[in-house]
Amino acid sequence: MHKSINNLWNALFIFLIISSFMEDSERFITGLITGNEKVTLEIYTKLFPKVQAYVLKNRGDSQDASDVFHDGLLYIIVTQKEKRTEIKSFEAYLFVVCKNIWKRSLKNQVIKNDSITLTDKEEELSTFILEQQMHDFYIKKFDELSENCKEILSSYFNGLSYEELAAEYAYASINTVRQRVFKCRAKLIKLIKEDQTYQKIKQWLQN
Amino acid sequence: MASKLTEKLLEDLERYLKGKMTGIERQQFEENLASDEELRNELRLQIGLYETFDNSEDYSLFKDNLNRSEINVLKAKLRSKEYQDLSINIRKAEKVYFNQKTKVKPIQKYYRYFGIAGMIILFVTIYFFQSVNSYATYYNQYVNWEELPSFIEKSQPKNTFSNAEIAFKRGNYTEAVALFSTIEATDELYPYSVLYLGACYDKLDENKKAIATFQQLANLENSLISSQGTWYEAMIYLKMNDKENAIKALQKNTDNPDDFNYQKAKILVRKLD
Repeated sequence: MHKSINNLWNALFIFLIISSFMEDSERFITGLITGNEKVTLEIYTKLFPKVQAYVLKNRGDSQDASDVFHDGLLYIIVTQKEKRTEIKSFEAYLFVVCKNIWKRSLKNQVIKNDSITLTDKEEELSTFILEQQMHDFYIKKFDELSENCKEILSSYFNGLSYEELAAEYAYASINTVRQRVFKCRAKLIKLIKEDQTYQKIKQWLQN
Repeated sequence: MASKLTEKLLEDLERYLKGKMTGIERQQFEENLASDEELRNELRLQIGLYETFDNSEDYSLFKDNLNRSEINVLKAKLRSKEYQDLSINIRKAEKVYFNQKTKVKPIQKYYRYFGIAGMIILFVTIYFFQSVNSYATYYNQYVNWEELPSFIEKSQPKNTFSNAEIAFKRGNYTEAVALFSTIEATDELYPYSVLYLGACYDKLDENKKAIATFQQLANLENSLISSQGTWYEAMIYLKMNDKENAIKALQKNTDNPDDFNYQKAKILVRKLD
């Protein structure tokens, strides 16, 4: 009896945490797309230090951090203004987006060799928006897979060999795990192709 | 030619993406790509998946080939008054924030700890048998210095780092040690110079120096690659068949999923234990 009350309290606690994250997410997104100064400042105060710390740790300066944060918020505005989608944790989502923006600009710095390149800010951001929308779409479809497929595929995409996967997930043989990986990948591809968004993405990738 | 999704096709796409095809295979595959729109679509999809889920590599082969009209639509949108106003709103908040110099501790990411707890439970519950005769086999399996990132850029004049890297690639490890040692701690490539230095000592079979160098890398604060230090420290211990110290080093990479080879470190610790 005592144990079941405890479980109930735990469930309620988790529910309240998730609800409060989602409430904040809704409020933050509405504030951003309506240009609410107070909410935008609240987002800045709560979430900028973490993004700043990440950029500073990875070869960036304070101005880079501000630009990354600005572009991250603008990405959310562009993608959420026309069609709202569910974002469970605004903080986690914004951080991932900002991380990707910074990784991308670090990569571009290397590619451009510091030669005189006039950066077209909107061009950069537009390209990023399309790429990130693709990533978001693939992640959404990935989340629709079974737990087992998700575990195996994330290990697989992170470079674990079939041999390591067989050992890790207690499969009888390498062949069995190979077939399982193929089935999960095929399932993911099927889920992606069945979604109308894929037709749109296909066009983005065709010149 | 329509491309039916088979295990063989997925394998070919992966080998092509990772540059594992032979010259003839690659040429044949590229001929097929040129004539098969569906195959090109499959390849683009795989690139997207690897870019999304594999953080360690860059597969952006089509990066500059995004549809122009789609980019132009977005650019026009971003330049419209409506979006410019929203952008100004963000910049205003930035200004106020810096003026106030307010510092608020970010909300703790509880979900992350749930995730880590879940992973720990998963690893603890899976029973795992594997015996090894020599720990050095793991060193051979996991250490490939040819995969170290290169910072040589064709159009750039040579500097100490690029000269050191060239010496390393030519197998002149003593010369590379001398050059990498001169890179200042303030240089943005300093962490990479320490990594290369450790690799040089390993190649020279100066294991103690290699370990000390990788420990130095591991202790660098604010570096994206410091967790590579502990990983390679462990690898050198394995090369020396020193299981206990290898485990100690590996365990440092098993707490944070962002650490270098986090999952591999977890598996190795279990194998060695």
